[in-house]
Formats: sequence, structure tokens, C-alpha cells
Amino acid sequence: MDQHYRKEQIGEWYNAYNNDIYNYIYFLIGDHELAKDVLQDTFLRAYSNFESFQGDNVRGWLFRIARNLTIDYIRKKKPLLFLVDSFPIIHATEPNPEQIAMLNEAEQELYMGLSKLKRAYRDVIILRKIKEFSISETADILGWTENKVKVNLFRGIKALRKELEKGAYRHETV
Amino acid sequence: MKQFDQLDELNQTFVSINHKVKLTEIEKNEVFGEIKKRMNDMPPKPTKNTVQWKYLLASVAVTLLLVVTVIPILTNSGKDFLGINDQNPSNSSSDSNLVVSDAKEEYLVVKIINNTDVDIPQLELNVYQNGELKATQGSMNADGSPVEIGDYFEFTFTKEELTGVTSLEAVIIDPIPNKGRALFSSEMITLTVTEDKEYVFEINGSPKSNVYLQSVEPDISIESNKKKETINTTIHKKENEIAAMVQENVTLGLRKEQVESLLGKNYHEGISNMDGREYWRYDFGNKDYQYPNDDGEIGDTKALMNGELQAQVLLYWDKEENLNAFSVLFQNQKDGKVYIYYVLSDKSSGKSEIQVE
Repeated sequence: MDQHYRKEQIGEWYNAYNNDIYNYIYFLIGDHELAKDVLQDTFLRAYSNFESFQGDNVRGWLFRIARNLTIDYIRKKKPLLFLVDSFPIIHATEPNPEQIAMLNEAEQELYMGLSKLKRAYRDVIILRKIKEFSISETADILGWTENKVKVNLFRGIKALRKELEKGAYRHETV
Repeated sequence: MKQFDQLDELNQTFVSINHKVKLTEIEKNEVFGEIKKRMNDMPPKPTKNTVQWKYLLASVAVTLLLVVTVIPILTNSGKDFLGINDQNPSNSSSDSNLVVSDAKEEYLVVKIINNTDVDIPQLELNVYQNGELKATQGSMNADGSPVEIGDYFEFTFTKEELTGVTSLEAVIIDPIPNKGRALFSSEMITLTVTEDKEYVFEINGSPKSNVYLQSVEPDISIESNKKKETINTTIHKKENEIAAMVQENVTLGLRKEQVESLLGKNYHEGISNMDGREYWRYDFGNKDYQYPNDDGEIGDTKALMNGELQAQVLLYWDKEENLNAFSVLFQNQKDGKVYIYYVLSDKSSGKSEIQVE
């Protein structure tokens, strides 16, 4: 495979998907600088594994790499079995000021509500609702069955609505 | 809350939040600049020598065909067959040199035993030196079948590719027709290549979650990155009695009934969101203590700090119901800080202070 072509292709993919992948990672880990690092590593991994991309869904492939790199990072940083702050590293009482400041009240509440959910729910809600992947694409990225995606999405939305109704994070900040 | 009384409004907020969180143009360019720089620094990817198994099979078939047809020609019987007299005895020896090449290159072999809990269709090994990708090689069975648990992948590198302080990363590649491939990377293992020998590793853990490489031999030149962290792990009774007892008595490989006899039967059981393993969680604290999370693998540091909990223990079981890994979260009575002591499935252990907000 021609190296020049490969680099050009990575450049095109980066232009097309950089924000899409950046904010996906950000929703997973809640850390701007770290999300930038993982974004960078995602495209470098895509470059070094270029030949392994066989399909036509490059967006899904890049998201799968991004998710695996994010989990790798968390595993490396937290090989402790007990998660001491819910994955991701979001502290619901301490929103990242730069990124959150630009959100309106409803969006901030949604962000905080998401951070309170268990990982499986958050995973599926981010991909299906925020990133708008199909059920089949979401199943591919997460390595789940489509049925599992549907069940977790249903339960996740229910749990999210409950969190939003509780508004617990608001009171904690006071 | 009120804003989300209608599902439509929630859906609108999902869409709008996606457009709000983004990189600035400067940041985009900075990140891409770094990507370009690092792509340029990467050496050209070496050709994978074992992945194209169809071509390999075809090559083997052609070679066999050639051997079957050419060898009789080169031997006496071949000469008889062709009716040629022994006019040029040197031909025979020079031709046989073509069959058995004397071009010897120096190679090092790396074997990776599949010690995960699944058969692996294909494995890629990335070789890093000085933080840069030096070589990548893929390996799979010639007939395309997965490498079963207990079987091994073999990689052959030139001495130039594998020399000195080297980090290895295994990537499990799971072909999904028409959808690309799922990638699961192992943790990095660093070794110093000093001898011409076969290096044997195991790939352990469970794909899709925690996969790591481990040396099969107790070779002092091989260091797992993780093991560097394991210092000063002893917990004294004065620090926390429960944690000290757990550290002293709980070991990997224990059966469930043994753990029950040590820690009691009052535990919460669940399935790990990370990797699907079964876990037990013990909450040692006040009688009216209520675990606050839906996800049972999250430590309740707040309750440890306010004295509701003395310690929290999390244990993971393998398929044979042997203890596979565990950790204990506790408050040190001496300094008032929260610590975690853990023993992972590769037997590495450690103790870390937890920053409680």
C-alpha cells in the first residue's frame, strides 16, 4: 500500500470525522486534553492498521478504534478493579469549565445525567442518540448483539430520565 | 427535569449537545500537525509474511509441483529418464544449491501462546523502540481457522527489527465481513533482546477488555510495565484491620466456599460491565449502610471517608469459579487517607492512594 495514499486518506478521514470522534471520546472520559490525545492516537492507529480496514463504514471503524483506545487508557490508568469514580473520569460535581460553559442549561443537565449512568447505558446512549449510529452500527462498535443494544438503550433512557428528574448533581454542588 | 418532560425535547438536546462540544480550529490543526509528524516518523510498514494465507498455500502448492517435476530431472534417475549421460557432473551440485538456499539471514522467533478465554482468529504484533513503531507482523493459521486456546502464534523477525530495549503490543484482530475488524490491544510489555533465542509469551485475559502479554519464562530481562508500580504494599492491622486480614488470607485461586468461610456470606454478586466476569462485593461497615450506585464495581469512597464503611472488597471469579482477581478499598486509620490494594489476574499486586474529592 502506497504510504502517500495512506497519509492522504488519513487526512481526509481526519477532516471528515475529527470533531465527531473528539466529542465521542470526550463524552466517554470527560477530559478535554485526554480526549485530544486519544483522538490523535485513533488516527495513528488507523494509519498503522490501514490494511485491516476492509469495509465501507470508515466512521464505525474509527469509532471502534477510538473506543478501544479509550478503554485501554482507562485500563492502564486504573488497573485496580474497583472503579473509584464511575467510568468515565467525569466528576459530576465538577464539570469541565471550558467545554461545559458553552452548553445551555438543558444540555448541561443532560451531560451531568449521562455521567451518572452505568457504563453500558452511557455507551449505548452516546452512540445511538448523540452520535446517531444505527442499531446495527452500534452493535458492531460495542461488540454487542442488536438485541442487547435495544434492551440497554431502553433501560438507559429510563435511567437517564430518572437521573434528570432527581437532579442530584445540582444539590451536590450547592 | 422540566426540560425533558417530552422525549422529543430530550432527543433535540442529544443532537444539540453533539454540535456544541468541539475542538477549536487551532486545536484541530495542532492535533493534525502532530498526527502528520508522527506518521512521517513511522518507518514503512513491513510486509506481513503470514497473513496472506491463500497466497501462501498457492506458493506451497507451486513449490511442491516444481520439486516433483524438477528433482527427477536433476537426479540420476532423471537423467536416465531424459536419456542424458553424465557429461557435466558440476551441474548437479550447482542446481541442488538452488533448491537448498545458502542465503542465511539471522532471525529471532517470538511465540505467543493463546492463554485468553477465546480462540483467536488473527494476531498482530507491534514492535516499538524508543516509543516508535518499528515493525508490525500478522499471524494466523494457514487454513484460516482460529488459533485455539493453548495453541500459539509464531512471528519471525530479523535481528535488526528486534534488538535492544523493545516493547511489544499484541493486537487481536477479529475479521467481521464487510465491516472492518474489531481491534483489541494488549498492554505493552518491554523486554531487552540480548540473545539469539526464541522468546515465548502468553496473551492473557479476555478480549474486548483486559488483554495483556506475559513472559512464560522468569527472564530477568523482561519487565512488565505494570509490575514497576508494586511497592510498599503491606497493610498493617493498625492501618485497617479488615484490609490487613484480606491481604493476608485472600489469594488467587481460592474457591467460593473458601472465600465465604473467610469473609462471610453477606456479599452482593453481579456481572462485571467491563468484561462479563462474575464478581462479589463485600461492604464492611455500619448495618444500615446502603450502597449508592447501580454499578456494583464502583468504590464508595465517600462512605469510607465518613466512617460508614471500614472497607469494601471486590472479587472476580473465572469460569471455573476460582478467584481470579480482587481489590480492597479502605481508609487508613493512621493517615485518614483512602487506599486500594489489588491483586490482578496476572498475579501482580499494588497499593495506591485514592484521591477523594
